[in-house]
Amino acid sequence: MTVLVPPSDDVFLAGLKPFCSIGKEVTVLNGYQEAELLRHEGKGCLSHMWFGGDWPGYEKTRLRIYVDGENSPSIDMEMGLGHGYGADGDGAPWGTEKMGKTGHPSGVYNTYKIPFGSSVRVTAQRSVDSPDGGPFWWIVRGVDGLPVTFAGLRLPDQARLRLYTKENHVAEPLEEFSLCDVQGAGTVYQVAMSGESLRNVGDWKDISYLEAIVRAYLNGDPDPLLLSSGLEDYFLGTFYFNRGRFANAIAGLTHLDSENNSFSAYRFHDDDPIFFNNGLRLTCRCGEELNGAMLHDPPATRFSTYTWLYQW
Amino acid sequence: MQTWHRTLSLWALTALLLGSALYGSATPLTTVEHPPQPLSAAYLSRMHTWSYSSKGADILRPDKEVTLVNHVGSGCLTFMFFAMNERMRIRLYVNGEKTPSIDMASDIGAGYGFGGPKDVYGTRVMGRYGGQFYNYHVPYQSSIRVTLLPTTQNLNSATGTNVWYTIRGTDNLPLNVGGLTLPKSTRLYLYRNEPILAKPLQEFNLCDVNGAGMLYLVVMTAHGLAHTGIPQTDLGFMEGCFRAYIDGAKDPEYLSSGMEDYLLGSGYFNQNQVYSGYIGGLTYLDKNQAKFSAYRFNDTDPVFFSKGLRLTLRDGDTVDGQVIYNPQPTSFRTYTWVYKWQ
Repeated sequence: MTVLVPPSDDVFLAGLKPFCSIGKEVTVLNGYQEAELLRHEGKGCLSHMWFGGDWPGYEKTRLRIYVDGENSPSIDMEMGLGHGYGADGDGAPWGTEKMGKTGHPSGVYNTYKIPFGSSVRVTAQRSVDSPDGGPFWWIVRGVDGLPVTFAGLRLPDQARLRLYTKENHVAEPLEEFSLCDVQGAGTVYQVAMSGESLRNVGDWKDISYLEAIVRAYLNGDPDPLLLSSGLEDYFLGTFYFNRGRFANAIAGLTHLDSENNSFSAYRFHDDDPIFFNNGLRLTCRCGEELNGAMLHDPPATRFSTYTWLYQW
Repeated sequence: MQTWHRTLSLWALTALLLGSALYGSATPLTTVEHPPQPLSAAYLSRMHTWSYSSKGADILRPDKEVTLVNHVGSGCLTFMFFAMNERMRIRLYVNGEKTPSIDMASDIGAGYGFGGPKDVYGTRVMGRYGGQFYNYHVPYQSSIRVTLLPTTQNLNSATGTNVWYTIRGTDNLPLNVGGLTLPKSTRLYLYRNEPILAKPLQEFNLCDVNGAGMLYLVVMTAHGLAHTGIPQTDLGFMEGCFRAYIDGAKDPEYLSSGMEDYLLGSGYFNQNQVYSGYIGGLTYLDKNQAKFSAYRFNDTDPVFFSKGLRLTLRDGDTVDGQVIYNPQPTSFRTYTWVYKWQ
């Protein structure tokens, strides 16, 4: 969305100071230690990250962002799903203005605007399931003084980007489970999800967990706002993603495997905002009912979900 | 030159209305906490869109610069389309300047070199779906003139001496980049290396400017001159990091951990496919010839400066004082686009 705001004054523009940290073929991740990629004091936004390297399980590398001196990171993500893809991101190269994957297994980037009020620290840690020793490359950049705009609005200075994760949750048929359940005010930024059927007998119904509707319970309302007519519909696909992978500014299908009935996808909400003032519970279901009857025959399914919220 | 069309286009009207819904308050940006008010009809009435188009005009002559548009006013040029022989030079003279602040070859100006991708390609700002298009927003405060300069080399081939073009802008349209409305004094400048032959480990300037502004875009081509068949030698120039010396700093901000990394690739573009993303793109790749062309926008990943910017690139690089791999001499072409204001 084009954002037009009043002309910026000279004082404001002069206060915009970029900062950047890079690493080039360094072994900071050896020994599976949590390595600091950037430590910065100030007030502004992170604006860009890029990562390189080549080892099995690269997509499981852990990235953590500690904002304003917090001890527990408000953003703690796997490299892959943090950038919208599950499995090993076999669909590369793809990219949008907010994230993408141009190589294999790396060339992973984002331009998430991650605000901080006094400091920000970014770390990485190799997955214990990966072999040790491979070198790592990174770029982490930000701008002091840069505010966050969303859907054409400048967010309050105290707005923070937080990530709510649910990893490897096995949902039984028709189970409704929470992607996030938060208090206060904010807006949904992004949802990334991977799903894998636990029943693969060659029947098209093995992927019918995709019938799920995404629901938003806003401001404590017991009745949800129905955000989609199906799970692939929420991610802008149709008929169980019948045309395969795609990636655009709003949504993308980053992985689809018809053998094990798995997928991964992302959906941004800055051009389609969902604001809340007194709490949000966002849910997904494993399959769905229609007029009180189960739709098709959804299998138990393993889900991982990353839900990004700006909160203030 | 024939002028076919000069009216408010649907494209410009759409952009105008989209912007108008969000633009309005005179409140300084730093204190905006509420939605900006819709623009008034009086404000909108100040917007004047102009558009010039010609259909196959037989006006190109070797080494003769021809003026297509000479517009007086204050606003932004928003669109250019050309169907003509490639590698024509396109020049933009802003506010009556005698030397154009933007002087580009039509291919690198559109984000590619070496003939570009085999398939059609396009971004939000530039591309080639047949003809080449350019959506650069080029602000002008008193006038803007657009010319073409055919070179002898480029004529007497497929397209010959004809050109199809559309050039459009809107008077009083504010300039918005990366979510910020930039000062009225803002200008867009293009800094070029065409070409530069770099020695191994040589650090060279992409731009070296004074004053305040922000980096907008870098387009580059590279041609490694070694062909040994060893990737770390032939492609070792890609280890070069982009460095930004901001506000006169002696020590740079490292904008990347390698050349292809800045361009959002990895492992010497190890997917071996061109891509054209919103932020970065690889528009040509021939590893056997050690050639690539690519672009990188910096509006959503901004690099601001208040007292000068020197942006550099290196042919290969070092880590802890040790040369990485074996970079060889490389020929680069670089186009660096910078918004500057007073």
